[in-house]
Amino acid sequence: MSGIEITNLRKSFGNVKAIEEMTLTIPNGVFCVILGPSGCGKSTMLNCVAGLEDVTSGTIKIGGRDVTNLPPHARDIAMVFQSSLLYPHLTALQNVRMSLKNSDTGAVEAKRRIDHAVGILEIASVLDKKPGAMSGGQRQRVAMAKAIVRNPTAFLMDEPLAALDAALRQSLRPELAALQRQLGTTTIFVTHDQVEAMTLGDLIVVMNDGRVEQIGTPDEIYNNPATKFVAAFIGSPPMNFFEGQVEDLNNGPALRTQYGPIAIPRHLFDRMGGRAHSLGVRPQHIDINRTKTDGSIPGTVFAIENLGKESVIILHDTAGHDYRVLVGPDHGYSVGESTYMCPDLSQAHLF
Amino acid sequence: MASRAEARIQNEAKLALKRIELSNRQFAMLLALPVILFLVMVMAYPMGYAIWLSMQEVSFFGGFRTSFVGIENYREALYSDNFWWSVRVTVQFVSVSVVLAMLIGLGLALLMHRVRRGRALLGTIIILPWSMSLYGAGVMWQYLARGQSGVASSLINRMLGRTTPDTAVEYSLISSEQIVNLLALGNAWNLAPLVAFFLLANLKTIPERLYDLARVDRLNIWQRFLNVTLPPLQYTLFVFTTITLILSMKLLDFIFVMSAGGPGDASATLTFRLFDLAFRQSNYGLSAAISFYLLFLIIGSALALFFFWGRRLEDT
Ligand SMILES: Nc1ncnc2c1ncn2[C@@H]1O[C@H](COP(=O)(O)OP(=O)(O)OP(=O)(O)O)[C@@H](O)[C@H]1O
Ligand SMILES: [Mg+2]
Repeated sequence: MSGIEITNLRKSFGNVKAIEEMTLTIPNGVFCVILGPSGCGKSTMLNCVAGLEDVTSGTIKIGGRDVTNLPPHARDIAMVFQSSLLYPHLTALQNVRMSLKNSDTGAVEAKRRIDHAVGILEIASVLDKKPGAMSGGQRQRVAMAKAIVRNPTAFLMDEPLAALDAALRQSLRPELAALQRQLGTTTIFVTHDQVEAMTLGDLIVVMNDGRVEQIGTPDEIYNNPATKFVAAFIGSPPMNFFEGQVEDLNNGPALRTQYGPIAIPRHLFDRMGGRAHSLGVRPQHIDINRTKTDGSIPGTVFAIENLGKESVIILHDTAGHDYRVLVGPDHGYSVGESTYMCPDLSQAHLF
Repeated sequence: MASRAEARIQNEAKLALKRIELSNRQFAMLLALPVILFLVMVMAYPMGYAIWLSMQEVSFFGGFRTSFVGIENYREALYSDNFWWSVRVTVQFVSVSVVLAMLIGLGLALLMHRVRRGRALLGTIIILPWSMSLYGAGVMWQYLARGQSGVASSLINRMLGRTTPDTAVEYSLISSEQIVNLLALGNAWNLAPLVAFFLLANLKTIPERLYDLARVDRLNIWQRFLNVTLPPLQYTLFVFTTITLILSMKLLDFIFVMSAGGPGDASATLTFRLFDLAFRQSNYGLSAAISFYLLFLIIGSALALFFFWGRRLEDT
């Protein structure tokens, strides 16, 4: 049985195309993360699945049932909103109860589910508190409890961790993943944070400008980015791009840059041909030297970010482009030095 | 040497701190002091004079004379049917005024909140009644309510198809039993716009997402109103209930113009009664005594509102 199937979904607000075209199948029980920059249509997509927005065209199936024209409460979903929104004047317990107030769940069953949710989320001590008197983490747990008591076919979450501080987010992430695995409920989780996406998702959907850029597992997305956008968006520090023209020269294919040609492995060239114009290399796949070697690119050290166990050296070429290189802590470089970058071409990507 | 200089500097710093250290409460008192002094000066004389007056028997025969009668005026008021009638009228007028002002205000606020197009024009139209003087409003409502050319007569005649002068009936709202409610409606009409704009400001603070949450939770329209829309309005509703209550209790000009306490004394509120006693019947003593009963009524009901409602809002 399929969890969520979205087919040819389109959504416009007047002239604004919030979602241009989206087809996505999420298998049952899978944690799917929708990742993309602000304004790319993530929330709109989730609202369409939840039934809070009408679709312009396309169909949405949840648990094999066509729900495209059903109201939110009839879709058998539970939603956690941004900042773990709760009714501000109700206590945690009243908030959780609200989920079942108008459902056909009997009183005994409702109580059993609420007790169960309170147990696994460990919120017994805040049940009488109002959201204003709870910490961000507690609010998030209550919002989760409110969602799971519905026993839904799918969870929909719109940046539930966005308003929390980094430390709390880090501790809640694995809990959320564990909870989802334990419940086995198909989940769509919207975020603009790539770390959240990589750590939580079984499946990641990268969106940009209302379109799907790539669908894949975290590994696939990181190691085989389908587009330059995905390559640039995923990974921290971000991937470096060398711009130029790809040509098949006598001594093999190469990217012609203003600093001379960079040789490209044959298998990469065969996939992209002459259409490509940038070579992407991750910061950990670039070596820097003080001396010029064949195919190296000159760069001046612009800044050094010390991360403790490693450092990021930010280089500028003569045109002022940024390049980031990951080096060990004892690199010995200082700002203003002239260096040469040697990309590891076996780990490069062409776009 | 150095340590001595240091000690002196520290000492001075301590002194300086001591000199300017005021608690928040003290600072607030300091700021409020000029106003309090001014109010005391402005209020003390008339207040004292009113207290004195309420214990005098004033007569104009052979020049202005007063004689001390103690609490006789207060006693006389309590034994007078007119006084108790006026209390009844006041309570009815104020209750209906407050309820209507809040309901109309809330309705207008919800309307302005939901309307997308022509919002500015709508806002302008809605605020107009408030910007009208109560005297002018009284004249207008009186025109609308009177017989012959009033709204009620016109509507009834139109519905019955009586369009000639000899068949037309005359139905005056002013002479009906509804006069107190009609006055309250006019009063609420004047007060509601201000209530509406303050409530609108509160409505604007409700996150739209809360309505989405209510939809996912399948709340019906009434539950949604109760759980999403109403909670952030409570404080404003309380404040304006208190304000409209006080304004309505001390209202005179609108009633004076529109019904003049009539017909008979059907709409003689306490304010109208004491105005009538003082300036038409020259019974200053009794009038002053009644004015203190009105003051107690205002303070009492405002306190009651706070005790049963406002106090509970503080912890939310
Ligand atoms: N109700 C609406 N009316 C008009 N345009 C809208 C509406 N809602 C969203 N949009 C537009 O649709 C696009 C996508 O918006 P959406 O809220 O889905 O972005 P998002 O990816 O969730 O961004 P964020 O990360 O900032 O929440 C934006 O360009 C936005 O301006
Ligand atoms: Mg969003």
